[in-house]
Amino acid sequence: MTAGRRRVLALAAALGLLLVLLLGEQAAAPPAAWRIEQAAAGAVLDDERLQPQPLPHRWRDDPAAGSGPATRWYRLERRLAQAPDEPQVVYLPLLRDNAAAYLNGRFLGQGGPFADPVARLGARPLWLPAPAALWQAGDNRLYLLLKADPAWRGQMPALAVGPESALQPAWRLREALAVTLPQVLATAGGVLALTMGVLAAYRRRERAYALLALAAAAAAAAAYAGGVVEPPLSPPVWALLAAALSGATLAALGALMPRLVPAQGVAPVPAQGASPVPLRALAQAGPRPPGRPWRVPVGLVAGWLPPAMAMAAAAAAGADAAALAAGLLLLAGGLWLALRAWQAADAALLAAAAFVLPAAALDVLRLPPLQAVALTGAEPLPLQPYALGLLLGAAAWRLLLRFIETLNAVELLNIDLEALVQARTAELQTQFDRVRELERRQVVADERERLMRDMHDGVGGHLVAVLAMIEGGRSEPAQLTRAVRDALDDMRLMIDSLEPVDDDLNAVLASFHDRLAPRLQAARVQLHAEVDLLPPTPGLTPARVLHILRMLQEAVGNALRHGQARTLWIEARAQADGVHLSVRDDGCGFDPARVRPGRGLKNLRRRSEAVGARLHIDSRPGAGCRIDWVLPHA
Amino acid sequence: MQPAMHRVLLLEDDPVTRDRLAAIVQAAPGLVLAAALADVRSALAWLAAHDPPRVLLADLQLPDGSGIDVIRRLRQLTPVSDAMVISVFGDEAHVVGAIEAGATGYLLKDAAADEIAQAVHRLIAGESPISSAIARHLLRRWQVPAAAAPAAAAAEVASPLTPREREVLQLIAKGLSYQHIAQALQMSPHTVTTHIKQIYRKLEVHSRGEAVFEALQLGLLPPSAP
Repeated sequence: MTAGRRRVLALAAALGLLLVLLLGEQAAAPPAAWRIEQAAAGAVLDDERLQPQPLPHRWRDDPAAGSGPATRWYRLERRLAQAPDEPQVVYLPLLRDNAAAYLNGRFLGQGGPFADPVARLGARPLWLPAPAALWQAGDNRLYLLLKADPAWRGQMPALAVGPESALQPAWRLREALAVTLPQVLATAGGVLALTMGVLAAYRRRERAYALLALAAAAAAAAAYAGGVVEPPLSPPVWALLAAALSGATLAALGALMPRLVPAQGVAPVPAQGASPVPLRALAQAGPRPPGRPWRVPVGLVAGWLPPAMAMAAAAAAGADAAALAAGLLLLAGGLWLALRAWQAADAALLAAAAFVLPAAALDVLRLPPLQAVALTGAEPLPLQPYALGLLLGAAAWRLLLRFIETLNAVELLNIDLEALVQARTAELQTQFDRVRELERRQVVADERERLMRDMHDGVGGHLVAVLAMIEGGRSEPAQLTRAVRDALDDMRLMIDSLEPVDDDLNAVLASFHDRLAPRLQAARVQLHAEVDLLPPTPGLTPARVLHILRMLQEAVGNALRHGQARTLWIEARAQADGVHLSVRDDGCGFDPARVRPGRGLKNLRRRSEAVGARLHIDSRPGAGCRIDWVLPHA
Repeated sequence: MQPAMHRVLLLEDDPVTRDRLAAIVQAAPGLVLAAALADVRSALAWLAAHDPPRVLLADLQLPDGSGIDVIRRLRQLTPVSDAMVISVFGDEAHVVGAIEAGATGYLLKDAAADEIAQAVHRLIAGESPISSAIARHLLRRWQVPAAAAPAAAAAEVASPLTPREREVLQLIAKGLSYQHIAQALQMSPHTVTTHIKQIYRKLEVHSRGEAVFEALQLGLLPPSAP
């Protein structure tokens, strides 16, 4: 169903209700055979001074009527051939004043008090049984006494007198439409007020619930106050209270309207469900409409209040036609707004709002022009409870709809957010993977570069030396063997340096010792290794391990090659300032000051620097050599 | 009187290395080369046809299988023979596998001639050297990560060592000499050697269940054999 069709349906429903009420009025009129539209009336009970008076009699139209509370007597005469044999009834379809009835000098009953100040009552039918025994053959006289404020609403309706069975259906229908149903609506309003009150208590941020609760409660209370026949308080106070409650209802509704109908609500905008961005949908479904929220209340006040006031003024001045015109203008304005509403709920809301004031005015005015065009019967049904009920219902519908829209929007938003989070997670994962891959590649590249450099320095250098020897024709086996051996040794060191040592310098030294021992044993060189259990050495990377291994290898190689040592001492001591490492031999030694530093010594210095070790070389010719390192604690 | 000559069986597929090692063995006093073979099949056939050699020098990676199979076969034939793995440096994992199959020593392919001859003699004399790198390898392998390993895996790698043997292994891994280990653990150097032999034995026993099972599978052992 399109939004347009929904809108028309909602309007049709609102108009249909009015039509039903108008038809109900016709149906609730007493049968014409029993209607009495002529009486004798007067201010005092004096048969001689009662003047003929057509009914209904609007006191306001009577030039004789003054201001202030007044009473009127009405006399009806009925000539019967014989006393009736079934129960009779006196039925006033619409009465807003205090009335009492007497038949043949006997009191039949009354509705409303007669004490001053005069009580203002709600419209209601008055049903007074007149037992058959009270009627007599010949003339029967029925007197009715009314007391009312003439300027306000004093009116004697056309009444019906006849057999109970003939009048009962019309009375029942009118009772249902004019009394029972409005009471049901008022009760429903009370329930609505309670529900909205609970909602308001839990969602204080959203004032709409509280306002609707207030409006519904005030409407229900006003309906109750208007239905009371004998007020517990002084009638003016009671009337003031009822008026205040009605005013509160209207004020709350006035404050509620702009919160219910968003500024764009009266102009066609895309439905919220079609919005591509749920975030925006959520904002639209939020408690306050975006844009210029003052436009709706200002528009309502400017468009609604002047006609309403004009209508009230015209009605007070007796200018029924002007009042009718103002009322119609109000109605038309409301309907026009409703037709432009883009949602059925808004349409119903605006239509109902457009009805409320005219309905209240119609109830008060009972405009003869309307009766003249048969738009309304002589005894109109109260419209205002229905209009108000419709408005409250529409407001509740609108709120409920918004609640559902918000839920939907939140649901959409959640789905969106979930997708967003998933996308972000995937994105992050991809980024993370990329960074990790880059890091891995960098690590591999760094390690590759280091290995290349180390191989070039060690194995490569030795092999180039071998090549040079062979090419130069100096290929004595012993020399070649030594060069190849050096290449192999360096390769071993490199492989050893790649073994995981878990920051254990002992493991590094142990590997070196394991490689060295068989070699020295075969060469008949004594090895004394004194190694303490050393503390963990953080940051013992393969590169650092290789530096340390090569330092030791260089020292041992020098001792064996140049020093012709027969005994080697290798020591590692854990001291306060770091690990003290030393290689000592009993070879021929040298004079550090006079020996031109060769490649071996330079490398020793460079490697010591690279691992952050302090190097000390101590040697004298004939006294061996001692090389010391201090590896400071990290 | 001439000293006893120990027969050495050499198993190495690389002709250059094989010739070099054969030459070293032949040149070494007290050693005599029984045969120099190049694959598992011919080695198993040789073992079936001849008396077991005193020492087997076996490369692990052979064209038709692993030298470990030959080592295992030799251990099944006789308890007095020793097997030695010819390894390259940085190959501790394979050496440990060979020790589990019954090898009691290892030598490096590129070691000098004197070193190789001495290593063989030390093995014959009953020494079972264990390098710090192999000790570290064993410790890593038998490290039971209490939380990380599932129950089955934990049982598989559960250390068969006593706490004392483990301590000895840890100190070997740190490169301490037997004497220093003895001092640190307050035992005699002789006890340290005993512990090391025990570790070797346990390594082999640890894998004996599998070995016997495999031997049964291969039809090498009658089903009633203990």
